Amino acid sequence: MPRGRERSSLLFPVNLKRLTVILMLASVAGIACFVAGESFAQAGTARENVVLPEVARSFGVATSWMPADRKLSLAYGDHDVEIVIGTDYLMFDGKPLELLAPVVVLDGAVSMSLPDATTLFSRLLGRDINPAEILSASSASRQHSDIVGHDLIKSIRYISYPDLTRLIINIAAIRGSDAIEVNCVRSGGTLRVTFPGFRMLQSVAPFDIGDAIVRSVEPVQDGTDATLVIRTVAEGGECEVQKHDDPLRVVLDIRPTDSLAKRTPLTRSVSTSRSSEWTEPVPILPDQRISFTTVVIDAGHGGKDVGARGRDGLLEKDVTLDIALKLKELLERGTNVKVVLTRTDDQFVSLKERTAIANRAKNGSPADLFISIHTNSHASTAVTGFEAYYISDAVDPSAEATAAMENAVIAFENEGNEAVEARLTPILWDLQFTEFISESSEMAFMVQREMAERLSTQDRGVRQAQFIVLAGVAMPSVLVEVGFISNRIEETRLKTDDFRGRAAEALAAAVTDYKNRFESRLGFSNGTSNP
Amino acid sequence: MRKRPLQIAFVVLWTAVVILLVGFGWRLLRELVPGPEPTTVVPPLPSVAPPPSEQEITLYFADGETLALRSEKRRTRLGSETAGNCATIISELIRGPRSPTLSSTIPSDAQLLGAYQLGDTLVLDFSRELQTNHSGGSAGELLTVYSIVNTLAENIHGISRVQILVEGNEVETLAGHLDLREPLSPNTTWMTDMSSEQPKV
Ligand SMILES: [Zn+2]
Repeated sequence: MPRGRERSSLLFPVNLKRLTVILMLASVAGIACFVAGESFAQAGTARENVVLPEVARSFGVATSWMPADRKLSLAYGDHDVEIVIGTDYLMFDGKPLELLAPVVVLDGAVSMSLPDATTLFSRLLGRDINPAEILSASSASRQHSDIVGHDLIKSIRYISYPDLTRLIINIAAIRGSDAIEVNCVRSGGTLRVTFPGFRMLQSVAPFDIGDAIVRSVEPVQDGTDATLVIRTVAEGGECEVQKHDDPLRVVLDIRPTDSLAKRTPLTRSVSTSRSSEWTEPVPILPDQRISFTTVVIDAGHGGKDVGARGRDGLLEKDVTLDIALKLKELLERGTNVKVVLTRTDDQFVSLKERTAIANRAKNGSPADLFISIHTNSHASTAVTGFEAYYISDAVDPSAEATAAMENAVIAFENEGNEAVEARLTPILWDLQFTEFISESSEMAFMVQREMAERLSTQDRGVRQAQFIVLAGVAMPSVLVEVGFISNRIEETRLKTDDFRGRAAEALAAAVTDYKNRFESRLGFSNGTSNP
Repeated sequence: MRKRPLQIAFVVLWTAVVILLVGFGWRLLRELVPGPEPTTVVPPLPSVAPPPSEQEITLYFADGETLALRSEKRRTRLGSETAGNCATIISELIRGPRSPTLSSTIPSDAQLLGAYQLGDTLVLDFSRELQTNHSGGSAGELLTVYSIVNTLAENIHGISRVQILVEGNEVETLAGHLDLREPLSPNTTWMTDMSSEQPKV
C-alpha cells in the first residue's frame, strides 16, 4: 500500500520538527530565565514581598482591579494610588513615585516589595508604619519565609476526574521530594493530610470542589505542621501520594474507598497537532495570566456543516449560534468581560480558524476562557440530557509525544548541548498544561452545576475527551452539549427561546463564577474586584 | 603541505558527525518503531496458513442508557490475514447489535475500503459514508470512533492503536469534535458508565 510507505517516512521529519520546536522554546525559556534573574538581582534587598491587595484590605484601603490595563487602584481618604503591573513607579495623587522594585505577580498574587509597601502605606494612611506591621498584615510573606528556612505550601490546584480527584500541592522546601513526609489519616467523611514541619501560606484559602468525590478542602496550620482537611462525599476515601521534583510538588489522588477504578497516569505534556497549518499553542509564562478579560464563545458547526439534525428538521448549527449570541449579550450586560465569537452568523468556519481566533483574541494573545457550544446526538432516540466536556489528559498519544520529546531531550543532554535549557521546556509545558486542565475541569463542573439548576433535563455529568478545538486552544476550555437534538422531546425544547435563554444564563453564571474564582486567586476577594 | 592535516581533520570531523547521526537515528528508530514484544512468546506458526476457523469475538456497541459502550460476544470465522479479519469484524459491527438495549454505531451504508498494519498501529480506510452519513453529536461521534478502536484493538492480535482514514485521507474529525489526526488507543472509560450524576451543591 502506498499510504503505508508515506506514513512511515513521515516519522522522521515530524520528530525533527518537534526538535526544532523544543530548541526554539528552550531558547525562549532561557531568555525568560535570564530576564527574570536580572530583575531579581535588581530587586536586591527588596526580596521580601507582600501581597498588595491583602495588605490594603487589612488597613481598610479600598482596591479596584482593572485587568485589561493591568492596573490596580487604591483609595484611602482623599488619596488615590494607581499601580501598573510590571512598572517600577506608581502614581500617588497623580504624581509619580519611584519604586525599589516593580509590582509583579508572584505565585498568582499581586506582590510588592516590603520596603515599597512600607513607604506606600505610611504615606497613604498618614502615619509611620513599620515593616513588621505590613508583614503581619500580609499573610503571604513568602520570600521572607523562604529566607527564614520554612518549608512552605504555596498553592493548591485540583483536577476532577470521573473516578478520582487530584490535588496538586505546590511547595517550596530545602529538601528534595524524597525527604518530604506526608501523612494521610481518615476518619469518617474527613481525610486529614499532614505535612510535618511545613508552613501553610495564608494566601492558600479554603475552597469547595463539589465534584463526585470531594466536597471541600480546608488548609490549616496545626502547630508546626501544615494540614489539609479534606471533606469527602462518601464516608472515607482512599488517598494516594506521589511526590515530584522540578518543580517541587506533591500530588494527592483521592478515590472513594470502594473504587476499583484504574489509575490515571500523571501527565507530563500535551500533544499538539503535527500539521503545520495548526498554530502550536505556545506555553505562556505564568506572569502573563494575571487578568480575566476575554472569553471566546464558539458556536458549534455552521454554514455547510449543519452539525446534528433533529427528527423534525432542527439543525444543531442554528441552536448553537442562537445560544452563543444570547450568552454574549448576557455577559456584555452583566460583566465587563470582552466576548469574542468564532462566528456571528450562519457561515462555515473551519476548526483551525476557530482555534486561531481564540489564540489571538486577547490583544493578539490567547483569551482567558474558551466555551464551545453544541447539541448532542445518539443512535438511540431515547437518550436525553446535558453534558460538559474538558480535554482529556490521560490518552496514549500525548504520553507518546512526551516520550518522544523526552528522548530527544536526553539525546541532546548526552551531546552536551543546551542541556539545562532543553530540560526547562517540558516543565514549562507541564506546568501550563496542568494549570489549564485544572481550570478547565473546574469550569466544566461549574457549567454542569449551573445547567442542573436551570434546565429541567437529565444531568449526564462531566466527561473528558480528546476534542480537536479543545486541544488547539492555549487556554482553559470546555465543550458543552446542552441537549440531545436526536430526542424528539429535547428537539422541541431546543427550538424554544426559553430553553436557549436558560442554557445561555447557565453558561453566563458559570463564566461569572469562574472569573470571580480566578480573581480571588490573584489576591482579590470577590467583593473588592469591582467596587 | 598545510592542506593535508586540514583534510584529515575534515574527514575525521565528518566521520564523527556521520557516526553521531547514525547513532542518533538508530536510537530514535529503536524508540519509535516498536519491535516484536520480547516478553510474549508466541508459539511458532505453521508454515501453511490455517483455514478460517470459527472464533468468538467481542463487539462494542452503544448503550442507550449510560452513554457508554457495552460488549456483545458472537462467533465468526477468522483467518490469518489482518485485512480480511478487520473486514469481517467491521461488517459485524455495521450489522449491529442483537440486544435491543444496544444501538449500532456505524452508518449502515459505510464500508471498509482497506486495512493494514504498521507496527502496533492498525490503519482503517473507510468509505465517505462514515463521515457524510454520521448523525453527529459529541456522544455519537465518540461512540462510533471508540466502538471501532476498542473492538479492533481487542480482537486483532498485536494492535494497540487505530488510525481512521476516510477515502484514503487523514481527517480532522468525523463529525466536528473528536481529534482523528493521530492514531487512537482504546479508551476503557467508554466501556464503563461514566454518567453517574454529580451531587447537587
Ligand atoms: Zn456538535
